[in-house]
Amino acid sequence: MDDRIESDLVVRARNGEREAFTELLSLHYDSAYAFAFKFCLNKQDAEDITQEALLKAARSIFSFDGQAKFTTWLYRIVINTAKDHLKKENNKKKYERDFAVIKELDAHGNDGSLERLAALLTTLAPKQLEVVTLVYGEGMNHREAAAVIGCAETTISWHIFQAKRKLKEKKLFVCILIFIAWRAV
Amino acid sequence: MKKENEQLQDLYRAVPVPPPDEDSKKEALARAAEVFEQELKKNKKISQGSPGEDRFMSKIIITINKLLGGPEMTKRYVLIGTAALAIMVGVTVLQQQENLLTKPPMLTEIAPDQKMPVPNKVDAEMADQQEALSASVPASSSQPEEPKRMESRHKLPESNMMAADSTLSKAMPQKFERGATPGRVLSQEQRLDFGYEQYVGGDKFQEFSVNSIKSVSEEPLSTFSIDVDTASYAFMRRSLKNGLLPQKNAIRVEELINYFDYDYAVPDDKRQPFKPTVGIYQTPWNPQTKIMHIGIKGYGLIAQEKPKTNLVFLLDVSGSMSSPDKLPLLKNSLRMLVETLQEKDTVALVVYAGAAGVVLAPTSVSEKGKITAALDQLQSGGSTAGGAGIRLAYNLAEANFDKNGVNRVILATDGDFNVGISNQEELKSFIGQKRKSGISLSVLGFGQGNYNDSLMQALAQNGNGNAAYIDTLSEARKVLVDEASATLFTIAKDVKIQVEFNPAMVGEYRLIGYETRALNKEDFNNDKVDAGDIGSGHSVTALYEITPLGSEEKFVDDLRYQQAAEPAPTVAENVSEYGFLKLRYKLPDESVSKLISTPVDHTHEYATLGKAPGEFRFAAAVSAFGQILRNDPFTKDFTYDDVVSLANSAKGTDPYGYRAEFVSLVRLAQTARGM
Repeated sequence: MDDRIESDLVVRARNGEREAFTELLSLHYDSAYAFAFKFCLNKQDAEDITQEALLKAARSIFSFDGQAKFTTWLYRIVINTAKDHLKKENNKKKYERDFAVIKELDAHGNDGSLERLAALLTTLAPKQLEVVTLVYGEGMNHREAAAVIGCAETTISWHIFQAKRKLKEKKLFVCILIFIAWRAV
Repeated sequence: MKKENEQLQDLYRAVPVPPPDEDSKKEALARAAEVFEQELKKNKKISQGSPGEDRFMSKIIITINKLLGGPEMTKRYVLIGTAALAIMVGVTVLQQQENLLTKPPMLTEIAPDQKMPVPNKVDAEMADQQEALSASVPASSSQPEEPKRMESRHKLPESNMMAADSTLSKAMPQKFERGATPGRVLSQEQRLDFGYEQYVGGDKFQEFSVNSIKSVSEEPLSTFSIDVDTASYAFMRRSLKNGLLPQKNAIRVEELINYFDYDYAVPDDKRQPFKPTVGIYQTPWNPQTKIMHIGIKGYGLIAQEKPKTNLVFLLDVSGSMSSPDKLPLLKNSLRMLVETLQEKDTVALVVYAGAAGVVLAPTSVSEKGKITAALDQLQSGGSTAGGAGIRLAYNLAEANFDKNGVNRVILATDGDFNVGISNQEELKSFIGQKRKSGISLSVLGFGQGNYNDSLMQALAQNGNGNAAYIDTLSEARKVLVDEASATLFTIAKDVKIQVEFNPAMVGEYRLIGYETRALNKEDFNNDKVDAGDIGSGHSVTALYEITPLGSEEKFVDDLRYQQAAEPAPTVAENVSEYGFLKLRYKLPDESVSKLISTPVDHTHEYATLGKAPGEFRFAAAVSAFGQILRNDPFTKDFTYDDVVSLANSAKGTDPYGYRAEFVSLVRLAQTARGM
């Protein structure tokens, strides 16, 4: 979207214009949802996360100071909400959910890529998952990802490095997971 | 085998994202809008409170730190001292602040390659900003270290400075570096362009009441000084981009009109610096009256004609200048100005904060690298010793004085002179004296919320200079690059205008704007009385709304007892004259004024508004906008829409897009809310 239009909407929203705020959110709903989906790989969760993030945005739009771009700010809210969301579920539930994801995607004509992705992502630590989703899922460069997470660019690079190492180590584990997934279906 | 990152990228690309349900999208948006409404209500309640107290506290803290010796002491001592003192001294703080005001200002020399000291890292003002920066995003509760950090920040406004120390000292250098990175600055400028910043409303403007309608039979002479300032326009723009209507006193209609360059005729003979362009046309907002339009444009100097320039930048680097729309914007603005200078010119840099110091001795522009390096090193911190800084800057300008050149001090500040100068009148008279010795002053205003417009105006007017308000990098470009020669090279000084109206033709008149520039009628011929300067290529416009005799519209009734002076037996050829225009000016290096005069008569009249030149109609549109913004009583039911259509019909070529921007500002004013 044109930066100017977006900034204009932000200013108007912050001045109390409800329409501007709603327009701003509806413009970003789909990308926020898609981002949440890449994070949790589940449609229901993604919708819940997006709604919760939008409410948070509404609560804090007046303290949004414009230091960051609106999209960066919104992504940061989505990522924090998603983390909260995932944390609420215990590990057992998480595995159940993972299998539910796979089943659901089969219904949507999945070619197996989602299982592989889910399997890979399960091996990552929460922080690595965040960074990987931003960098590989959203195609951001390290600087942009750093702006969303609110850390130094080098921290992002470090997390990516760690994530890659972990993925290499867990190749075998991935194979097992895929096997389990396949059995479950 | 593919590398992990490619593998992951491919996987993400291959994963189908199922489209979200329309219903859940609608639900989410509706609920968010509801929460938004609730927040809006809460927010309104809060914003009615006073933001002034925090500012006051921070000033006190700065003052205490200064008293303790600022940079000489280690930071830790200052912190402990501050916390302890804040508790102990309590009421005596105010007294100490007064002592400080009467203390003689400190002068310290600072070598060019040395960084300006930041007297005190825990400047509470910056801390506030830092806090705002991090508090703007709701933190996740899943991250254990984050709530802890937030907690320590929230403690900051209370006197627990120790806890905040580590967070701040880590965060601050980053904050300053950001301003110095050219790549980042552009995005800051962009941000400013859209005015994200919350308006706090502490700006100070001189109060004035609008010019009243004068009856020609009682007061046939109208006298005023020209005004080439544009600060009011930039301030208005910033306010409107924030969605707020500017306060009434911030709008000086003549400054709005003179913000734009008008294509008036220039004299063929260069011995005369400018010539007047006049016109009479239908008033857009009142069919019963007419506009008398007076425009003058100074000739533009070509490069070879430009005299040697001796510039001293006097920069405010106090704590209040730290926000991105102040010092970082200032540095970039000056970099642009240096680019426009010639090799024979010289530049010096003086900064003032807790102390005033010379950062760069007068340096030839041929050593541009040295100048920009000195600019890059500036940092902000400490309170403001503006008075000492001004003295130091003038000393430098005098030391490097070139009697055939332009000698100018350029003061850049948010106008927060709070320490080191006890008397503004004293400061003004100091600048007035220096003006006589040939050093003029330009004032560049920065920032919002604490901007002291009335002082800036007073300083510029006393210093034969101009005042501009810089809100964005593009405004800096307009003032310092596109109009650099107008800003720097004066082609005529003490320009005064006097109009004598013909009572046989005009019943009443009213000068639009120039309220703060009015002169007595006897001042016109008095060369001792100071007035505004006109720069190379500058254009100046003044509009009168006149009521021709016999018009139905009459504001002032005829007097019953006072026999109005019989219209003088007018000579036959004067009968069609509306008035007689007189201009007085001095050439830059002369002290005796010259006179230009011309009658304004039927030959200057346009039958309808539409037939008047676009330049005239545009100026009329801008004047109408200013008057509506000020809520002045004369524009009747002329609306913003009328302003838009009038301005649109008269945009002309508009090479820089300033006129198009004006139209968009009028549209913004339609939806802006009052303070």
